[in-house]
Amino acid sequence: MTDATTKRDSDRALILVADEDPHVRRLERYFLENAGFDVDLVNDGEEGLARARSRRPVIVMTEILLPKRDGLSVCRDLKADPATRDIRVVVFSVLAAEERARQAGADAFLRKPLDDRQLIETVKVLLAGKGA
Amino acid sequence: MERIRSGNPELDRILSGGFPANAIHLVLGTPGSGKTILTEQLAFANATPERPALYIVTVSEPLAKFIGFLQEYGFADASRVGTDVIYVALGDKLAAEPEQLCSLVMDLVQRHRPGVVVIDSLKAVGELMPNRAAWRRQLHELAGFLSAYRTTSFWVGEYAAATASDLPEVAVVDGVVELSREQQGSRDFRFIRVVKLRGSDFLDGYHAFRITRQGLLVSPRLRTAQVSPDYHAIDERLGTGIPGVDEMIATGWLRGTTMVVAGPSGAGKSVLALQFLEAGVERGEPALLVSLEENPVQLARVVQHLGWDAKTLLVPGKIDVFFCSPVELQIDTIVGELFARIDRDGVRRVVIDGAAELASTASDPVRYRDYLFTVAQQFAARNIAALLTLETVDGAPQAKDSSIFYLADNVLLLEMHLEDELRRTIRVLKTRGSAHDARRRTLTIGRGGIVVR
Repeated sequence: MTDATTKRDSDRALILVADEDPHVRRLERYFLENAGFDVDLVNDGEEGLARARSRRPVIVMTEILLPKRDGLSVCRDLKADPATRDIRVVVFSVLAAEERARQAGADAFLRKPLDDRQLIETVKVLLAGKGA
Repeated sequence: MERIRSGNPELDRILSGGFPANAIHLVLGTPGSGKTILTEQLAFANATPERPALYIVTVSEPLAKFIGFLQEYGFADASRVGTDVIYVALGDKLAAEPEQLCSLVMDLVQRHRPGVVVIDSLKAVGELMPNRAAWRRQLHELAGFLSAYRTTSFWVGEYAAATASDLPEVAVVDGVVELSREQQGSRDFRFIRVVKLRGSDFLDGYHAFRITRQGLLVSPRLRTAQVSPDYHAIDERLGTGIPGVDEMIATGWLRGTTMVVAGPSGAGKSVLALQFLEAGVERGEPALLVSLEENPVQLARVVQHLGWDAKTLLVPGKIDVFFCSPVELQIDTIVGELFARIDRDGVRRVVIDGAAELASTASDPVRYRDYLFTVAQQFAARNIAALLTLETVDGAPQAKDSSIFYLADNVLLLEMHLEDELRRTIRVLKTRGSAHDARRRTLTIGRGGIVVR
């Protein structure tokens, strides 16, 4: 078990954040919760994949650079599994890797640093089923 | 690369377009060097209600006093304070619990979602820390958090640049800008220098600035002219407008060269210079007269005496007059304004009347010499014909002005002989790459100007 924290409010949509940087996790949690979402946090790829399978969030927000299993691999595995392929995946990375993220099946790509307006807008567009 | 404006176009030019965005910059300098004005200026330049600037004051000084002084500056619109630009005083909290710095900043950033964050002063907080290890931890946390969010941060500190390289602050920031203030005699010279700017080019060296009601006014250091490989000198012979002078130099006066006219007070230097400019105006060449000695009233009187109409001649597009007091200005500011006017009007002829006075506007002799060399190179690269006047004492140029003589292509010496009647003469002391008539010739000044026989 990692130092990841879990919080769930049953009537709010769940978003899973996978990022090793505690500051990014803090900021994502703050802005997503303020926007009305429930947020679950993990800090490595294996835990991210396991948590996504067990909790079935509506969106997984993942950095590419993660310990144990990289974010693109997490994205590919989620999209390859019929049980999790409907989970929207946002690759949110310090790397300029939009094309690689698309090839891995990601629904959206965002480049760091975190822009709260862009983050919330992307999440809302994905949940509205418009793609991003 | 995304950048943010500094609030000063000239500083943006030094920074290759502005401060790199989403980075952390350290603004350091001694007390009173202008750090706070710079950061407030850039805060106001970038703030919007959607992406405000967050200005965190860490000193135990009443915020009202801080903001009160701010309103003296033209860039600070008081109606934007509290909406676009948010001031927060953390002095008292940090004095009690300095290790709360990072936590307090995190909460403020999350609440206000700023595009710019200023911490003024960071050094003051460092001095409150129980030990160096605690300070390093705070800096590491702070840098990590501010790098994770889409904001550009400025940390202000009263550090001396010479010792700053050992600071833990310098190790974690992306850019370092130093402001300095040097006293020479009764004058203060202020400079700004970019020490470090990760991932970006910048104009190195010391750039002069002044603090005005509009904030910092920066004059970028003049660079040696970049001459293109296909550059070739124009062998265009120019007229001085003075009968008898043009024949003294075999090749004549060529465009792109610098002439020095030296002589004692009253020998006719300024009149000769004016005739040179007026001859250019007659040919449709805009001219610029930089006057470091004669004020506009004195100048107009001389022009009227020569039979010209000062009101129609001494105007931009004909002879643009830039009167500057060497007591008030720095060489960087004067030269910056000179080239701004040259570019604005397409100036073809320039006179710097009283060029030796430029020495007193430079903070040191090396800077003065560098500037003279660069100015002459810029004139040559732009094919501008330039004339500089210099005062002589006891018939000879002064040793302190030797640099001006070295850079000149041609040197004319005017002399006054106190015989039964005052007799003025002119002779060529130096020409570069041309034969010349080295004999003294008689020079007379009448209502129509100078005549040489």
